[in-house]
Amino acid sequence: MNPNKLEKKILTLEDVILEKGEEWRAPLNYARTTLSDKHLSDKNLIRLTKGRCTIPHLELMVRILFLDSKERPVGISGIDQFFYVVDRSEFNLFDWLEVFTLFHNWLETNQRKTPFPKMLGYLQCCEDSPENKDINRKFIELVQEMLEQHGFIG
Amino acid sequence: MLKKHPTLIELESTLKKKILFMDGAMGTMIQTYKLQEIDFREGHFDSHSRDLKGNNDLLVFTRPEIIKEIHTQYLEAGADIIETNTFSGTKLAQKDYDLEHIVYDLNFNAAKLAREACDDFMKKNPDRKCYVAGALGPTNRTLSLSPDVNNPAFRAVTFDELVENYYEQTKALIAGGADILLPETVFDTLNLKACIFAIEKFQDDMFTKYPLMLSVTITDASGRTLSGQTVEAFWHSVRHAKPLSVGINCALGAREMRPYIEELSKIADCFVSCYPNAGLPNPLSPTGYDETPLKTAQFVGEFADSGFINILGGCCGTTPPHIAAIVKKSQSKTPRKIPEIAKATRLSGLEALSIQNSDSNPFYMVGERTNVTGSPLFAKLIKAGNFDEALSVARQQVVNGANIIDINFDEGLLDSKACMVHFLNLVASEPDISRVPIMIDSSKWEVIEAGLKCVQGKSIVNSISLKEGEEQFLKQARLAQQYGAAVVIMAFDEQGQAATKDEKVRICKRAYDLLVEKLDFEPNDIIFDANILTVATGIEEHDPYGVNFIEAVKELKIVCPGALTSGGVSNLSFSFRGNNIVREAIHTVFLYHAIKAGLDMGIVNAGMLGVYDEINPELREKCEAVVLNLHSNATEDLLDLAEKLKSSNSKKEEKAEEWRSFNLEERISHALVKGLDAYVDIDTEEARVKYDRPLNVIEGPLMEGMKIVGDLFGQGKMFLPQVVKSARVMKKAVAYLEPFMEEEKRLNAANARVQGVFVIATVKGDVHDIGKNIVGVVLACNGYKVIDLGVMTSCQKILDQALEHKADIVGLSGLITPSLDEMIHVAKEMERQGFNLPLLIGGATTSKAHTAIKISQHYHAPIAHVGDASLVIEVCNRLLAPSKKEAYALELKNLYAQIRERHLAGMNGKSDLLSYEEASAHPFRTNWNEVEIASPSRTGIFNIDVTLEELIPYIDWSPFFWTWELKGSYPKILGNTTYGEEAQKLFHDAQLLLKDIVKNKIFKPKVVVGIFPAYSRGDDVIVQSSTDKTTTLHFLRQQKEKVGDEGVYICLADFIAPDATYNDYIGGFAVTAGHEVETYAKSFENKLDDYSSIMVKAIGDRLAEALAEFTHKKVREYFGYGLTENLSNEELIKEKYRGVRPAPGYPACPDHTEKKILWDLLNAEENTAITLTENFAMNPASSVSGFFFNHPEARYFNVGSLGMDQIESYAVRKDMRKADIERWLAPNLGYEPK
Repeated sequence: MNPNKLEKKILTLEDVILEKGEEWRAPLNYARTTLSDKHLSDKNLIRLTKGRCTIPHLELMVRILFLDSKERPVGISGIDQFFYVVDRSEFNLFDWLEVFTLFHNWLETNQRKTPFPKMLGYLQCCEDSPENKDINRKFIELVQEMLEQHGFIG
Repeated sequence: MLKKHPTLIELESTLKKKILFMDGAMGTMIQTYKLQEIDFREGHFDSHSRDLKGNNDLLVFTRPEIIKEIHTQYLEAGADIIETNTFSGTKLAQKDYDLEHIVYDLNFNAAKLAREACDDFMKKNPDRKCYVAGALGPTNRTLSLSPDVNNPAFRAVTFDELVENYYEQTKALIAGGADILLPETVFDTLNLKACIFAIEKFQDDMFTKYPLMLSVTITDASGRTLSGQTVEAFWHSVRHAKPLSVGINCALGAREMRPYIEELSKIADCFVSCYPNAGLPNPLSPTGYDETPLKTAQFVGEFADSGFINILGGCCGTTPPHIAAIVKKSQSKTPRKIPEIAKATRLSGLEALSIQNSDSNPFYMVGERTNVTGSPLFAKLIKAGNFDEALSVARQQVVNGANIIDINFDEGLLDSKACMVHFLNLVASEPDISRVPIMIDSSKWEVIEAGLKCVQGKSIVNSISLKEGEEQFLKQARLAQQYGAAVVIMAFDEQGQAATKDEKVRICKRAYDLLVEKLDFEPNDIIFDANILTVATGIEEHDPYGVNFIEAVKELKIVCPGALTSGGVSNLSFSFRGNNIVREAIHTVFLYHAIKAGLDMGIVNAGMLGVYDEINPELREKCEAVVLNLHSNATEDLLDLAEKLKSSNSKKEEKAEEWRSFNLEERISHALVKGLDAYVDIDTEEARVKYDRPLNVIEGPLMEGMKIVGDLFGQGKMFLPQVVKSARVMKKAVAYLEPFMEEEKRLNAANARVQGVFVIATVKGDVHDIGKNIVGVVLACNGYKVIDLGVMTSCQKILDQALEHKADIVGLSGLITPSLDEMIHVAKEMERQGFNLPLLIGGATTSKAHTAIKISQHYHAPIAHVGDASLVIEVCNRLLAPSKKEAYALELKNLYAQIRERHLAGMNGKSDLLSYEEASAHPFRTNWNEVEIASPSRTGIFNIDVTLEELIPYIDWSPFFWTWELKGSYPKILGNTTYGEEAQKLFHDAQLLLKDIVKNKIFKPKVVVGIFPAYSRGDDVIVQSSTDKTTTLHFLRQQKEKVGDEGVYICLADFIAPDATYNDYIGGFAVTAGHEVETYAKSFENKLDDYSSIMVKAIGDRLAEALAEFTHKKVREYFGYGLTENLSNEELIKEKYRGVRPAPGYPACPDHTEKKILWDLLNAEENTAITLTENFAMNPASSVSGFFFNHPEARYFNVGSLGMDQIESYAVRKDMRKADIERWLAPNLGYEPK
């Protein structure tokens, strides 16, 4: 548990760099130049980097959100959809970043591609599965099992 | 007809001779200038209140030199056509920046700038002819898709708004100097149809036809647009625009685009364009795309070599070097020659439908059931506002083979226009329905027009006629043409309806000539309905109506080349309504002759057509005489025969009995597979005599039949309800044989051999048994002897019975979370008492993970989790088969060890939880001085009387199907391609049983409600349960860290005012369908009818849930706000009302022990006879309880993981031991308890 989470005010991308280190400058710049504010505002970018988010996590999410912005130019943005789902999930942001990485790698290994909303939907289904009803499961473990046992049609 | 603009004539000529080249990306180029906010404002929008960076279209005002420079670079690279920088040049798109008012000037300036660039360039390069294409983007709204997932009928924009937007843009682009109009990057065809409509309107106003290029975007490898259409369906939807070219741009690179360009090049009877992205997006590249100019040029060069292309260019990521490379590679290649496309009526939904006008043309069926005037069921659903179920009527027609569906809402009491729009919007969100074209049917033009604005495919207008004269007829036809629809023309004119062949032909021919000559209407888009009128009415002049129609069709095919013919077939036999055999035969005979005469399509009940050769010969002959008016007694003869047929058995019944002529083994097998038990005793007796011993019958034909059932079930070709029906037949057959076996046993002490003995029970503290019963049935019908110990079975009883019956396997079932602990206890006891039997774990809350992590380490023998009844046989067979069991035991052990290890490894760094203190500092906040706090008209504890009949509309049927392992939601599930038929049968059986339960008042529902003054204190709610007594309810608060905008950590107590002076209230309830559910189910069990027994319990559960919904509705009414909510039953079931009713033990308040407090508060046991088990399960099982919260923003949520700090505090608040709390809240613990 982190008792001071809400009190730490990280308001700008510079604050993130101060908090997490200079090595974050390039990936943040990359995010900022790749996605318009409409598809990833500074505020949401800062939120994405919260907690245990790593640079590879961030880079992957930016790539996925970029592709999503090309596929779905209208409607609710991918990042807003993502945060909405995370906040209604029992798993935290880090868990979600981990499973996105896992799922993305699985798709790549299988030479598959799927839109962002379908990725999100699949991962939500994993969370809702009976395998996650009664016991504290690790999200990545659940998703790994689902992919191994049922694969992904989409 | 419009005059062609000279540029159009010039382009048509040039494109036949050479490939033309377009420019590349504008956005990519702008990006290289690294512009800042000031660049988008300077001199024009300096004080504008919104950020403008990224609104690239504004640069034509603020940095015109940059845009002109980009245009010039592309012209120098070899582009013949440059696009204006107006992708977002509509009011809708500029609204995001509050700049709607600049749209005309923006487009005008952009076109002027491009024109200048072009003219300057041509002045320096007099050998080059270049053009300006005015770009019209897709806007940021979609007409075919709802942005609100909860409201699929909603649209964020209207067709008319888009028309207005595009008209203004078109006008400004042409005024600014654009040569060509280019609606591009089309991801929703209906948006494009609105754009085309606007352009046609503009062209009509200018009396000129301008060059029009259309370009669609195929979003991914599915080969469809974002709105779901295939390339061909898209083309059918928009070819009425008669564009100069059609093509594909954006989203894909050239390589990925190839199959779609190839397809388009084959079907388009105009020029074809292609301007792909520079490969697929790659965010690691500075431009977002990394395909080199050479690569792009190679790909598109190959398109030219293959003869696919007339115009080439580039979209996102392409630059002047890309265009230069493309020009260099392809400029000397031969352009595509426009192919001769066969004449056909080209319609579309999400998929294309082409009807070729030839002798070998098949007959096309137009589904007629979505018509309120023809289908009482559809009318009833629409009048009740039950649009979701009405969709299943549409779906059913498509499933039954309708090629097109007719939709009609012409009913005096309906707002036909609103119904049409709402229903078509819903249809658009159902791909299994909207894949076929729609026939928009109404006698009112305004309804038809409203419908045309909702359909992206190419639809059919049904109908227009000359009834109100030529002017009105041509006006409506022209609009249909502009909306891109085919039309049905009724044989009506100013004098009335045509009845004779000559009148029909005369009127239709007149209409045809008017359309073709005055409007240049495509003949293939004309469909004549020459009026199928009712025959055999007893009025002599009606007798030739059938043959008149057939003959008129024959002649129309000659005098109106290209036009199709259609008709509403049901009218013909209207005089025989109530006699479906005769009606079906008349329709079949009529169509047989009409199709031979050239009838192309008919509005029919797709599920009610017979085969001409299979009609009873006598009936066929009499029908033929009527249809073809062969003699004067034809009607009398058919009426006589109809009477006879009415009193005899129906055709279907005759067919159904055919199986009785099979041999014995086939009959037994048929009865088992179909679940037919009417002849089970007769057939079993015949088998007993034939097979000598009763055991031979079981092991012979009965097991053979069940093997087929098992195989079909395993292959997914049979579904659980069918298997349970099969088991009912098997059970009855075995019951018939039992006395004979007993006698045999007595005589020779033989014993029937069984597959294995399976002891099964719902564990102590739990009363739910539907799943357990289903597993029992599946096992029994696969040869297992099942000892079912029922519900609330103590551990010792299970173990004693296992020993007594020499069990081979023990199975445990449970539904509520505390049952999991009891299962652990049973496993420990089995170990302690020295058992070696395999143990099966199942039930809704169980899981493989729980079995592995919490149960398996306590028992050395094999433990298997079975999540689905269909898996149980495979698992049991492997556990018992001598050749497999050791290997399987080892496999299970290893699997569970692996799951445990993974779990332990994952325990480090579990959830990011806030401290309880911090979470409490960010509750859901309410301004209690402003929020409306509802006051009830009734308080205290009271019962509500309700009849079963009243509950029916409140039933949510989806979970009923889940009980039977049919996954999907009602009513969609009834049209499911895999198990829709079985779902329909199941639903039919449920309706019969429900009717019986309601009619005979078999269940006695009971309701108790309590409404009390209350206030919150921290996360507790203090309830003034009587004048001198308070009760405390305890709730839990979310602690998992949030990332989104809201950032609140909710607890149910947040929805109750924090001070008694606010006069807030909380409610509680307990409802049950009654103990009679169990008794009635048992009565079927006693008759060996497990199918009906399970059905009774499943209906009992549905009624209990419906009772909770009904009670909540009443309570909302007591609070006043429910009196005005005006929701449909469907909306009620989806809980689209104010307030929530969370139940203890469920996600928002996961602590089951709070149920005891609720019970005391409501005196629930005395008021409803519902008791609580030691694990707080409600008995009877068909019961529901919970709390009522009235706060306008109260909502359901998941409390999720909890920290030790909250658990400690909760234990103190509840005055319970922390360890006990941890046990009850085990699934929510965000830490490992000691």
